Amino acid sequence: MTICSLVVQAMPQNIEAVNESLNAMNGVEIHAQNEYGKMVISIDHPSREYCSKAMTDMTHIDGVMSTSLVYEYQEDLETEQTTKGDNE
Amino acid sequence: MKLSRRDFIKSQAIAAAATTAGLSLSTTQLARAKDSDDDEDIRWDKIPCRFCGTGCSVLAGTRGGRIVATQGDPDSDVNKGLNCIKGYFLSKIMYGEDRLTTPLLRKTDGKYDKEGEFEQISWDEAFDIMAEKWKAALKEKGPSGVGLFGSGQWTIWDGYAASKFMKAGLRSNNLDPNARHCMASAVGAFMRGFGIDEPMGSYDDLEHADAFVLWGSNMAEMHPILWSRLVDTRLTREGSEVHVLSTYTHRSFELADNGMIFEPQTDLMIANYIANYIIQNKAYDKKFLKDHVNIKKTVTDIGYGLRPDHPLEVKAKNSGKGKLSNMSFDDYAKAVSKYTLEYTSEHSKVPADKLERLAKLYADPNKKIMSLWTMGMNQHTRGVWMNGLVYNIHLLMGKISEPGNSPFSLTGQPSACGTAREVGTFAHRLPADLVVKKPKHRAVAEKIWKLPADTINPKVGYHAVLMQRMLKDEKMNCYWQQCNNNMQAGPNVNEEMLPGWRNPKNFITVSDPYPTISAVSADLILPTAMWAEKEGAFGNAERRTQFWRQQVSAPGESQSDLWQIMEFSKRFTVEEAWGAELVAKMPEYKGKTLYQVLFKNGQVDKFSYKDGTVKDQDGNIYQNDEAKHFGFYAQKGLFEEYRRFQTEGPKPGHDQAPFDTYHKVRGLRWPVVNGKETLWRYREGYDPFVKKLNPKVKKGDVYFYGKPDGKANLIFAPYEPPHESPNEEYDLWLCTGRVLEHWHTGTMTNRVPELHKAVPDALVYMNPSDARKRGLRNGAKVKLISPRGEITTRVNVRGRNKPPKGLVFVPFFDARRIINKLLIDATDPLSKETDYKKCVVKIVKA
Repeated sequence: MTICSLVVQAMPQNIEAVNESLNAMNGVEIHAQNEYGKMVISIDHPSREYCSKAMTDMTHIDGVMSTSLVYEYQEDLETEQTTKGDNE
Repeated sequence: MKLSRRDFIKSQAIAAAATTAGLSLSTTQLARAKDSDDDEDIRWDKIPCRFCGTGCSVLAGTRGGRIVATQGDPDSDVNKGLNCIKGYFLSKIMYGEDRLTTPLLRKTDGKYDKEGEFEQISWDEAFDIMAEKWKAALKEKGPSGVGLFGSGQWTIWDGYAASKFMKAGLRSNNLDPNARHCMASAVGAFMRGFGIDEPMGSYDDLEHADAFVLWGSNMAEMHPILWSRLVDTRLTREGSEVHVLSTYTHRSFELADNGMIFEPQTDLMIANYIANYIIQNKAYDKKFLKDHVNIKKTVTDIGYGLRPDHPLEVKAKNSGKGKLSNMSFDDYAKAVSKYTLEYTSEHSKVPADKLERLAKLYADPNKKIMSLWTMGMNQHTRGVWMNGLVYNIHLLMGKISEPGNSPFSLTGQPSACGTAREVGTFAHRLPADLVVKKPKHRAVAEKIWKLPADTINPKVGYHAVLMQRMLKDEKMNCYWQQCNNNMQAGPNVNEEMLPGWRNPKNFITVSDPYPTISAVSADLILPTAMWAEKEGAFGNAERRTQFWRQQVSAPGESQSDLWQIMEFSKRFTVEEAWGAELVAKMPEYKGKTLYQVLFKNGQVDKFSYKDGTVKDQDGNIYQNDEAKHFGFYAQKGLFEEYRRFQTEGPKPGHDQAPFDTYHKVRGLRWPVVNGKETLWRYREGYDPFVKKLNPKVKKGDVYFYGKPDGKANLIFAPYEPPHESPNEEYDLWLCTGRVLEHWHTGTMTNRVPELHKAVPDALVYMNPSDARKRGLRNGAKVKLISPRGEITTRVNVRGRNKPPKGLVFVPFFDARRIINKLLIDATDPLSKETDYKKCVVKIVKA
């Protein structure tokens, strides 16, 4: 499981198109945005590699000026639970 | 459990992003994730990022002796909770599968053999052979026979210990950092213009400026977090604009209101044209010039820092000279009058309306302007001149040293400023802007270091490129490289570097966490503890000093650079290193080792250490492997001794806070006086040294106290042609640099599978018409050939970098394609910094 949150900055005139592109991405959700084009995004996906690729991909969406990561959590739930089971 | 846990983490993640973005959601404080998440036993602590010069603070989460997560530090003024994609993978850089864990020596039949294979050895054996070789070189050649090549990625105390070991211990100034390749031109211009190194402003200017001008910087990819702050200002401030100058189109152009592609080297013309425009339109600030500026000119026809017998050096009238002489304002006006709009537009190929728009922006007294630059301006055979020409514009307009008016040189490495520049690990420098050639400066160092008079060698040592030439020429026989990968990052690798390394007369040691090209080209490899595996300190581009605690242990027998230097110093007696004559001046040192004299000197070993000395505010205890090994808190002792240079030396304005302070704060920008940092230097009201050094200063006025008369130098320099230009055979310019996903030579980022997969190969970015002309499609396999070497790669005509006709771009991260083989070792004759941005190549189908 990998969950990360990002701040994306888009040109205000491109907000709609950027919204559309982001919404079309697997595991990507938009949680908040303002009129200056600043958005709060999350990516939730089993693969960390997917998350990093998604982050790069959204940087390359037309109208996106910057993509910054805020929080990232990654763990292998399967392993985690097995370990826990062993301990209990 | 699974679901609720996911939801919980996700809500935390979103809240953190919203808080950072200043958008409304719930404002859960997330910095200490463990408080709200009892399930986890993660310890969070602050640590500056290992990569670029921005100096973002991250929170590193450690569990079971491993860093398992990182997040942007919400309490950091630099990145305000944000991280770029490289920061995203920070937790993985230490865990590459091929981490080196023991010293390795080339051997045949159990003995050192230059042509042998690498075999594991002990630290003892490693230092035995190294000491044997170093002592032989010292005996034969004297102090110039050995050299240490360090890094702007060294911690402050790594660099300080190295400087002490080389300059005081071995009396050799053959110490230079890889920052020579990246920041030396910026340093040169600061010293010539202002007499003190590093920017007058701070990152706070990103929120205070109306307009931004990027001169040779692709901030969008190279400094993404600073870029996000710039984007924020551009998108939210009325009338804000962004101008971008480069020799090719890159990602930063997407935000540009005025994007300009110029012919390589003509930035010299463009800057002079702007000065000319300001003068012609009488827009300059007469009073500011009269009160605060001296006008100078620099000697011209200074060559290209090549070997002295190179035809270009022979031809140059003033090869390597930088003498300044006075110039009247009228003469200056006349000198720049040549750079008219028409002339500059014709030669630079930038449309006249774009150039004029840029000039008008600078000339507008009501616009606050931040000029930003990095390697495009520094890695330039006229880099010092070019840095100076931008200061000229700011000085003409008085747009300097106040919020938003800020010529700002960005850095590429995390401690290019903190270590290479402030500690002074250059061949000509001592700590706190002192230099080896001035007797008074040497005397200060000798006093603080408790050395006999005349210990420090007055002769400037070999700089980065010269070290390689001297190895090749057998003038220097022992070379130790720490914390960088010069065999991939240095210029003209095959002609000027590798031959010296593989010369049987030379002994090459490389300290590295990974088997880089440098490591495998060496004779001895020392496994190195990196980043969070040691207690450290970096200084970023805005003069901010940041500390971190050791978070985890290094694998196997890896040891930090600091440990290696201190331990190696035990191998030399003062008699061996200094000679009997010097020892006789301080008989109490008789028979002692350099370790005893330099590090067990009653100062560096002043602070005792036992388990539990290093604690955070929550009471978590951190290890400190060096302190444990040596029996004293070496980092603290070194830092406190180093601080004396800032207050006891003849150059004021460098003060840093006491050691313990930095473990409690998210860094402080020096000068730090009475616990208060300085955001803008040289202006009354912001910089406490102004009033102190000029009690009569008017409120809010400027005083450039780095120069004896308190005035900055405006230095005229003309356009001079580049060292080489495309010709019939080699018909393209080659420019090299980085890409977002990789940092420098990829030693760390290539070990992160996700980053490697994202950008596995260095491609050649070229203009579609140049490709068509050569019958090449996107993705075609090609050979890039220069007069010095060749590589094979694939063409990209649709990528993020879009060169104009006649220029190609290749990044340098790819160890399988060493693009630097193609580069010429031409440097700025003043700063000795290599020009990585222009040389000639041709491209043919492979």
